[in-house]
Amino acid sequence: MDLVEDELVVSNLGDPSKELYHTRDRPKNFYMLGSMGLASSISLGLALSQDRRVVCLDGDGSILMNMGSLSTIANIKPNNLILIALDNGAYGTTGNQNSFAAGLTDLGEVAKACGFNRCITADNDTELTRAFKESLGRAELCLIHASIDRDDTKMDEIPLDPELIKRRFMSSISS
Amino acid sequence: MRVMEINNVVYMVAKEEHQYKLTDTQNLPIAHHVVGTQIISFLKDNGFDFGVTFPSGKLNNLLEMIEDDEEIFTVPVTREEEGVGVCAGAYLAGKKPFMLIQSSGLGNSFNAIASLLKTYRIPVLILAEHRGIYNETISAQVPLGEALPGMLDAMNIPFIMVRSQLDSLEEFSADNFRNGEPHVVLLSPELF
Repeated sequence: MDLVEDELVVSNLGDPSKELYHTRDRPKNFYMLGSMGLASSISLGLALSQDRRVVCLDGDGSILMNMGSLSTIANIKPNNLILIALDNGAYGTTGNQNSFAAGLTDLGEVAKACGFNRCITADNDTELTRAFKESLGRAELCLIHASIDRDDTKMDEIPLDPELIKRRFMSSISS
Repeated sequence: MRVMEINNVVYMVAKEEHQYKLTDTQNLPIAHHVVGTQIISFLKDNGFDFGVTFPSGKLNNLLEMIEDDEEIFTVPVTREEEGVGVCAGAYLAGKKPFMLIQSSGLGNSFNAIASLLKTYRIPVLILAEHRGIYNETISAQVPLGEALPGMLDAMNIPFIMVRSQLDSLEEFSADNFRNGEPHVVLLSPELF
């Protein structure tokens, strides 16, 4: 997140959003609180409707829930969208039950098969930072499949009202 | 024969050999080729510039017209629920979004409408061909098609059923955009 300057960030429900809020809250973060699976779709709508780069922090469980989205995004191919699949092979919010991403399903391969030209695998933080930095420098749709650890740390819920999240996000785009 | 009251209009629901018919007292026919043109005019006159679409038998002519229109950006999706997310993103970026889908797609979208659109007060116009209630040939469409008005009601999603006149559309949609409410227009097959 340190590399993010002016970009719009959409974060998945649960840990991605909570972690983002507690480490670097800013108006250009859209925290998705419900609608599991739709972080990538919201990101697509945003990317198609304005010029700033959109960074989506999505989870393996959520991507599995809305896998069709990968096909839609790949076919429409916005060049200002970076989709980061934070893959810990688990459903964090509900107690780290395994997802099929920990089984036979390789989300990076799924994305390629859906039509993503640029798919990068990142096995650790260093690789993720490098891949992200590279992608920020290119006007190209990209998916970064990042392996991350499971975390049992309890984080507080985001105390912001959804309408506040929406309003300040929208203001930050139009300014 | 059953009577259903929706939004202060009384409908009779008659089941004749697995075909459900909905009739009310304002049964004025309208030439179907005109409807598509009227809807697209309504969309353009009211500033709709972003449409998420999913194919739907009777709406396909309208779909084509909208896709060809240069002022309206259209995005086809793989599932209507996905489309709710895409519309939300477009709205956040300042667009005025609508969806053009089949009513069965609403069934695929309820949680997204509730936990994303209603929760954040993101208004989207959802135009849906109402399946399962009028000369329906596919029985699988009937359970949801018939239950839909009640479900929309239970979820406090404002909706109207358009069977002949499109006049009420403008005010209905304007009100709901002002209030930040996702709202549904069920287009009866009788229109086409």
